[in-house]
Amino acid sequence: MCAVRTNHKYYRLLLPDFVTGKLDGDQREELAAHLASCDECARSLDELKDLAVMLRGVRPADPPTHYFNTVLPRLRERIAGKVDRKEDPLIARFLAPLGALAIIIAVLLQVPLKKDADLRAVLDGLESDELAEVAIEQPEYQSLYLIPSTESLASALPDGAISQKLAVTILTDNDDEALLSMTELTDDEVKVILERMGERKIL
Amino acid sequence: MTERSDLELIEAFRQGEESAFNEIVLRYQEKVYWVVRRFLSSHADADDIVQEVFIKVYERIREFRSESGLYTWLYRIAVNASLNALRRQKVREFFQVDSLLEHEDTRGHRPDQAAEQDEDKRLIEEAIQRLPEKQKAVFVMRYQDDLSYEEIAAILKTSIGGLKANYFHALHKIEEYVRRAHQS
Repeated sequence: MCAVRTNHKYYRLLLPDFVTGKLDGDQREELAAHLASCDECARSLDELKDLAVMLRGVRPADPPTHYFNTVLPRLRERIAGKVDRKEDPLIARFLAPLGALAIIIAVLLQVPLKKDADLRAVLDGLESDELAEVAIEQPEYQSLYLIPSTESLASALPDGAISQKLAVTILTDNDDEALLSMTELTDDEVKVILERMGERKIL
Repeated sequence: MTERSDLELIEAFRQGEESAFNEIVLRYQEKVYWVVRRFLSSHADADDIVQEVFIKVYERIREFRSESGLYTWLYRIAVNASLNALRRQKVREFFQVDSLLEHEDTRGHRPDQAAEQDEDKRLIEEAIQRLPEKQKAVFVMRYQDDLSYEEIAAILKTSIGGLKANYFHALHKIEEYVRRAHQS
């Protein structure tokens, strides 16, 4: 048991910096005094000391030779591609919301998914563009949303703002076809979709 | 010819000189790569995020305020992009998409390479990759990048006390993982 129990937590949290050599002189002395009277901290220190030795020199493997010569050219290519895509209002306007829409409909419809509660916890931590990316990049993932019932779809997208056929197309088709389908949407339909996403803090 | 400062490059880029952006990339790509790589064990994942970071820089350079240094700004973008990538990995793992590939990436090397590596180092790398996101972030920034708690708190928007606790638990988890592996 610690003799100076009231400060035990404070000193315990100094241990990582102590063993990795990041503690300044005053704090080091304070901690040393505490360690002399605290078995628990002394034990913790013993465990961390060996680790600190092992940690030295641990670093990920080097990237391939000449890797850094390739970063800029590829970056320039992607930037040029992005500029081109920005000039296409269809993609700029629909592609990211499309992916987010797929996710939100799945959540709204409560399609039975494995470990559903865990999924929600993960999804809650994502930004809308990340959600979109997951949905767009992973056709396997999208297949989990397959064709909801008419009732649940109507509940997710009220007022007939978007037809079931169209929503199912969005959820099940590949990106190009889905994108093509989106051309059928009117401005009002798009507005409703975006509003629904906004209500759910997806956008 | 004298090398231009970061601020001069940013200003030149803002004025439309595209090659100034190239200079920024060449100057910082290696640093950014290693920040990202410490979060993501796989080179391929790290490469994607490096590209993402510099694209964000390209798009947002007008938002840069000179109160903080350019590298501080880049570092923050790189950390946030890495954390987002870790979250996306979680989603992928959740659905077991490319699970075999993910498994290999998490280990960061092939079995034949692993055999050649020091066992403790390999275990530590594995343990670091398995840390919860926040603990991993604090470990990378505090131990590997030598940032102060104040700097980390500003990036992760969290309290210093919480960070110290995260760091403590991160080190103990790594130690425990290695110890158990040795015992088994």
